[in-house]
Amino acid sequence: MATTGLISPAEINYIREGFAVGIRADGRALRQYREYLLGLDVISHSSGSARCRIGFGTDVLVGVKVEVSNIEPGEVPNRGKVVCNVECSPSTTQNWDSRAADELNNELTQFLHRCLNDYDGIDLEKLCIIPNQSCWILYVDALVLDFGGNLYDTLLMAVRAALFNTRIPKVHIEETGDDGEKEFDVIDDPEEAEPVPGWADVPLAVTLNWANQTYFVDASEMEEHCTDAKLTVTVNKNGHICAIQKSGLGAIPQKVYPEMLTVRIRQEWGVPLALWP
Amino acid sequence: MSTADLPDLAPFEQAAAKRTEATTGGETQLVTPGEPITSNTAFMRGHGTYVEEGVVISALAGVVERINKLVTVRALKARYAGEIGDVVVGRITSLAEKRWRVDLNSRQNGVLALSSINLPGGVQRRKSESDELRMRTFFAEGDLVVAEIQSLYGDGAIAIHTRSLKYGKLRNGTLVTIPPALVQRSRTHFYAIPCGVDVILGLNGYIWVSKHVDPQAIEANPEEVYSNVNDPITAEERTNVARVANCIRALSRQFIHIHDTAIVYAYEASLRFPISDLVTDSVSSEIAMEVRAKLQS
Repeated sequence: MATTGLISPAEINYIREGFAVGIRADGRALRQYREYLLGLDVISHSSGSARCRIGFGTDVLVGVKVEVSNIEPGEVPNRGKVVCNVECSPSTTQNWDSRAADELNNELTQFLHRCLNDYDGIDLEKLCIIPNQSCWILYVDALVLDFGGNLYDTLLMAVRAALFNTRIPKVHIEETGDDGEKEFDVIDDPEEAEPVPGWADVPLAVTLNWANQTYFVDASEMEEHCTDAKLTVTVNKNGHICAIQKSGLGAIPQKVYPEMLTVRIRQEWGVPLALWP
Repeated sequence: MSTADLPDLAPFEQAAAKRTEATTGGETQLVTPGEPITSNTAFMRGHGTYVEEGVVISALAGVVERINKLVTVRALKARYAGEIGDVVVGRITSLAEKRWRVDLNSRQNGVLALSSINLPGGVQRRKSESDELRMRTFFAEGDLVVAEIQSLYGDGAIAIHTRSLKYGKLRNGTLVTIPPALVQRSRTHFYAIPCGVDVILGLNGYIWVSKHVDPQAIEANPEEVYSNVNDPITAEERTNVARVANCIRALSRQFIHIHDTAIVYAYEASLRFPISDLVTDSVSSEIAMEVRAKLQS
């Protein structure tokens, strides 16, 4: 539900005091996620899609489209491409005017771009069809339909599920000339399509919010207003930390970092086995 | 990977179906946009419907209402339309000349005039220019107020007042937002739930759940009307507030009208569950079933 993005001093005090005694305003423990719904294959014309809704608040829809692209001179000759775009629907909250929404869109797009491109996640080399010539390009488009806090975690959950759901058509490669020149045909049969190579290595995020000398996960919208700083940790299925991003104006004491970085995705989220093997 | 390991493919559809199933048991008929209501030509189409090939079809997601031969659909998530005398909970969004603008979950912001508030200490006098200069000490942006609708403007905008000790700034609790259609007009909208929790049911769907404060203590201390500081709250009071708040969320998720009896029944039914589970689909439907059974008996 759209809100004004405002909070009263009494509410801030109530929520922050709640952190100190470990009772949150909605009765959760400090390290407890809200119930979430995950739907797969929600957009029929995409190569893969998913929608994740957490606690009847934040709602993210992700569509993945796979297309053939040319490898231009100067680009890495043997890698596919992933292009991300995140857009927040202006109806989500009243306080995101066009400029604030633009900034947020950029921030989230950058975050997603780094998560999908800058480490051993999706196997980009397997997305190459013919080196120096053609490759697959994955358009990952996310739409934030509703906001109720904890956008980063929900976004990555939806993206990972959409990649799990994505199928890339098989290609048939032929050598056409004596000089090693190659051509390829895309096989249209959907039965022949393959999963995204390395989708399982895409991480999930756990955002730890620092407030009132303690930290908690999965902040609701009101709780985000009461948070001093946020630490987003992305973890892959081997339990390795892939990225850490600190946001917010407050400081997190150095001595709590090691403790905060012990996040375990399965424990925090309770992820279904199929999505987190 | 076998299909058995896959997460539910259509949890959204399933959840929706479950909710419809739970609510069509009574006389209310829930419809979605495009759903045929009746093909009987004796009926006239009203608000929220249209006719296609002789069939009356819903244009909204809501409840079908029949008044004689007129068929209308009342939207479930419509914005709040006020009436004079309604008790509402609102949030101050901005200050203007001699008035505050208030978010009332309505189509447009409500107005709280400087002349429609009580001064701290209950002083009776006309508001002066110095009062205008310290308006932020009464209500600032973000503050929550409980108020009564004083009048309505021609375009449907709402003017509210807080000229009673019952009304004023809210403290010691948490706000729950539900569809306004679920709150019905009643004799009182201020309830003290026996577990030591106060509930203010704003007709605009904003519900304030807070720890119990003796009304006499407020009257004895009129200076505190505009305080921003919470009273000390014990862990027990805090858990009770959270439980009542989640009971209200659970009831609204199951489309049950929110009133004191429903809240008390839901509270009793909820005691065997952990607080945070109350808002899940499975537990909330279980609680809803118990509440419905008790309300009918």
